[in-house]
Amino acid sequence: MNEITTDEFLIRAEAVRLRRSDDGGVVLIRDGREQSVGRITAAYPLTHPRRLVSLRDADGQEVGLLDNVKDLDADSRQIVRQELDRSYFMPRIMDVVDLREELNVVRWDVQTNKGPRTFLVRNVRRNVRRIGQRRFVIKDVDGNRYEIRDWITLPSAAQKLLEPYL
Amino acid sequence: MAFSENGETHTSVRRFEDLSARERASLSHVAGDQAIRAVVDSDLLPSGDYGDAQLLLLDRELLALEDGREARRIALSELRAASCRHFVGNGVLDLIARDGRRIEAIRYSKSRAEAFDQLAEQINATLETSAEEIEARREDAAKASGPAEDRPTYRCPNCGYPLRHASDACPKCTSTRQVMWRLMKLMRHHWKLALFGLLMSLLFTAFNLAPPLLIQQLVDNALRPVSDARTGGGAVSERMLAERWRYLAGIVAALGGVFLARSISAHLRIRALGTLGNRVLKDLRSCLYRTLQRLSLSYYDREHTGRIMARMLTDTRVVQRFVDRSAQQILVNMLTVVGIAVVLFAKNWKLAAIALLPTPIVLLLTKWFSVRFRSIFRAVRRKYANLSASINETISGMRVVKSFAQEDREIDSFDEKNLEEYDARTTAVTARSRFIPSLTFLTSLGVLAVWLIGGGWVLGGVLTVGWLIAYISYMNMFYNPVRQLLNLAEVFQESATGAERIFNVMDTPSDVTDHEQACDVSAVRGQIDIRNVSFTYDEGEYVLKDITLAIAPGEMIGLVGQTGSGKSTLVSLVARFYDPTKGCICLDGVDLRDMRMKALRSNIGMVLQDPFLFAGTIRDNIAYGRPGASEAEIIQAAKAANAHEFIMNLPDAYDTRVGERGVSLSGGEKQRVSIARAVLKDPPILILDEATSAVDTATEAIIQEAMDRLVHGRTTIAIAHRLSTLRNADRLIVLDAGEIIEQGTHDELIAAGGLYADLCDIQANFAKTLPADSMLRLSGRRR
Ligand SMILES: Nc1ncnc2c1ncn2[C@@H]1O[C@H](COP(=O)(O)OP(=O)(O)O)[C@@H](O)[C@H]1O
Ligand SMILES: [Mg+2]
Repeated sequence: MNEITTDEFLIRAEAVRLRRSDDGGVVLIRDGREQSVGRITAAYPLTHPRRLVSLRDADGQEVGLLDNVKDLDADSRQIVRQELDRSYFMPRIMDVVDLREELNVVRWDVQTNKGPRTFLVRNVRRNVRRIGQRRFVIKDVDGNRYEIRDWITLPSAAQKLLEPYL
Repeated sequence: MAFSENGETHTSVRRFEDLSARERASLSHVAGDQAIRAVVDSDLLPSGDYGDAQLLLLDRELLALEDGREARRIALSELRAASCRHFVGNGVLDLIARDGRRIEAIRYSKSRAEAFDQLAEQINATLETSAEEIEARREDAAKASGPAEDRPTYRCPNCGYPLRHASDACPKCTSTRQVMWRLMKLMRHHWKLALFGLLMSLLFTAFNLAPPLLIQQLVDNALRPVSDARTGGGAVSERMLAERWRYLAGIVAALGGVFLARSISAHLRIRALGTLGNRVLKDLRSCLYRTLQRLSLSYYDREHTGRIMARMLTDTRVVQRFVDRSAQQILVNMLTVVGIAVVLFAKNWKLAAIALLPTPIVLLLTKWFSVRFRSIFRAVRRKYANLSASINETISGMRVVKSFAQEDREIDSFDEKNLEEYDARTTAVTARSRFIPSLTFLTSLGVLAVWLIGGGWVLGGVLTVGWLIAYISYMNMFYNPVRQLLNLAEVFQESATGAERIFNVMDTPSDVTDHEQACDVSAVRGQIDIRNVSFTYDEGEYVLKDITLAIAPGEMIGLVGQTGSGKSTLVSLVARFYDPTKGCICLDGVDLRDMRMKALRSNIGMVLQDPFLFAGTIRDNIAYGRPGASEAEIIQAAKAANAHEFIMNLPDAYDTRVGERGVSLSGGEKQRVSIARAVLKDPPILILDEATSAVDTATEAIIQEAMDRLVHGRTTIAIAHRLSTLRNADRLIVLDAGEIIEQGTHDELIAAGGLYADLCDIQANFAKTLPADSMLRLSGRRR
């Protein structure tokens, strides 16, 4: 029925390697051939951030989708992870120190896995997005994203602060 | 609260002069003998951890600092360009070395993206990077990271509150007094009504405060037992009793009078202020609507329809509510509170103090609960919005739900949201069930104290029973106004912001306006001269670059080019929806800007790709540009537009209602109505922007026939995707990325073998896959 088969665009992680070029770029090595990679993004950055990772060449053409980062060798995996962490930067909120609202703007004072951070969120309904039962992605006024993996695991004081907003 | 996220950080490009003394000292140290041209702070380290980093543009070098230590130092002489890559949640400023190598200078979060974009521009200016190079780098960066997704957020320069648009009023810094003053001025036409309403509010308050005092008189003077007088002898007591009766009747009558007067003043007050509010609402709306009609299209490019609607409907209502309710409520409440306090303290300050003792506690409790309520009600509103969004969505998508047999899943998902909303409401009910009763109990504690202590004083003869009752009554009247006054600041702020937003729209200048000496034009010949016109929508890239084109009266120009090449933009300039950024456009030798806009537009007819029909009848829609047209003329126009046949097949023919509440016409039908509209207007200049792109080929033939008729004898600029549509054009102009790259007749352009020839080729190949008859038509048009 479908004319496009998954084999056409899937890259099996076991079959390739990646390395850094001199100026920090990424090179894909497949069947002994090298190809420079310009952009690495996940097709499902929120639900499957480490699977189906799109690799594009310097012209923006998609080379293919890596099926699973986990199946790469350690060095390549490290490179892809670094690139993904940058192409979709979303620190994880570990604790909420303070939440304060004034005139429809909520000021979040949090601890993340990347360090302490303070940010503003407008229109909480639109910018706090719930994914699954206990996971939330928050977008601040500047377009930064933050994640609450599982709000049940936050300290209980933080949970209490968050309750009206989630 | 301060809206800046971290007290000390700066989110913009700073010059040396903008730095604090301490920063100057420490940065000069790392800069050495070079002057600091620009500094931008970052909040992110290359590792992805938050931290302090900085990029400094010096005389000869770029210097990146991380946590105050030098991380990278790059000589400007080695560099070719700078550009930014935008990722999700962060970005990188890249430097391109002379040998093409890319150096990542600094990483930053989205909060600093604006500043680094500007810094990159400044670096490029310093390097004297060519425009082509910058453009090429920008494209490379876009390929490597994806386009910049978010619009920048603007901050109030004063307090840092995030604004959606640079021109928005900051709700926090809006000067309440200033806006209120302007609002007052708006009411000046109705000052008599306002004064009357105010007066009635005063009267009402006075009448409302009177009854307890009268009751005190009643109890102390009329209802005092006569027994002590009775022992003195029958006659005396008879006389006294009669006197008491008169007194009683007198006071009851007075009370009756006060009650009546109170009701009448209330009635007059509500009517006066209500009318005033409605008038202000009407005035505001009408002012706003005028402004909206006056503003140029560029305003509508910037603003969403929803926002404009909110200005028109919600904000004006907020102001109305303030005028007719909040303002006088505040006044009445204040007078009541002050009045009661004065009366009570004047009579017996000790008892007054006891009576008003619970006030601070009531205030605190109210404040505490209102904070809690706000978050609870916010949760309720959110859940409710979820619920209604889900209903809305499934109903409009019912066809899809059913065709994929997903009814059960939709029911489950709805039930879940429904339950959530129920839970939120239950929480709200619980909170409310605690608030009012506990408040009532608190105030009744005060009442108890007054009964006890005041009662003791009555027994001791220091206080009369009447006064005791008056104190109790006043206490009951005291606390509601106090509670309402607590919200005063919020009410003021809300209305002031609403009013400010309205005033902001009214103050928006229109980019395209008639200047004072603008002339009227009548019999236009239709000579259009486009001279060295360049245009940009919002100070970004030029969409049109140095276009020069002379169109003779009666000539038909075909405008060809890929999507986004600027065709529609060019014709909007001819209709003066926008003014050219550079160069000018003349009609019959007169600059469009020297012509009155109404006069100009009455000479131009436009048929657009997406025809818009107003709610109304087909007749109204055809006659839109010429409301005085006769019925016969309308039919004539419809016939010329090949619309008559289908219109006559509608049960109500020309009286058929179309638009929101009427029948829905097909794309081709709408297009023919809009052509009829242009035919009836009979303009010397005609603009056709992809008028037939949205219809199937059979319909196109019908429309095409109508258009050929319409074009005859007019200066016409026609844009078409299907090149065959332009077979009648005298001249074809090929636009590419905002520039004219080819012009000439079809045959000349084919012979030249340029872009036009390629486009024709592609379409001809495409046509081969079409049925034979449409191919015939296509080739037939090729002359
Ligand atoms: N209202 C607008 N505001 C900002 N940019 C616009 C606007 N309209 C069009 N553009 C941009 O101008 C360019 C030319 O658009 P347009 O004139 O509509 O091209 P065409 O009609 O040839 O398809 C496009 O890049 C488009 O994104
Ligand atoms: Mg267009």
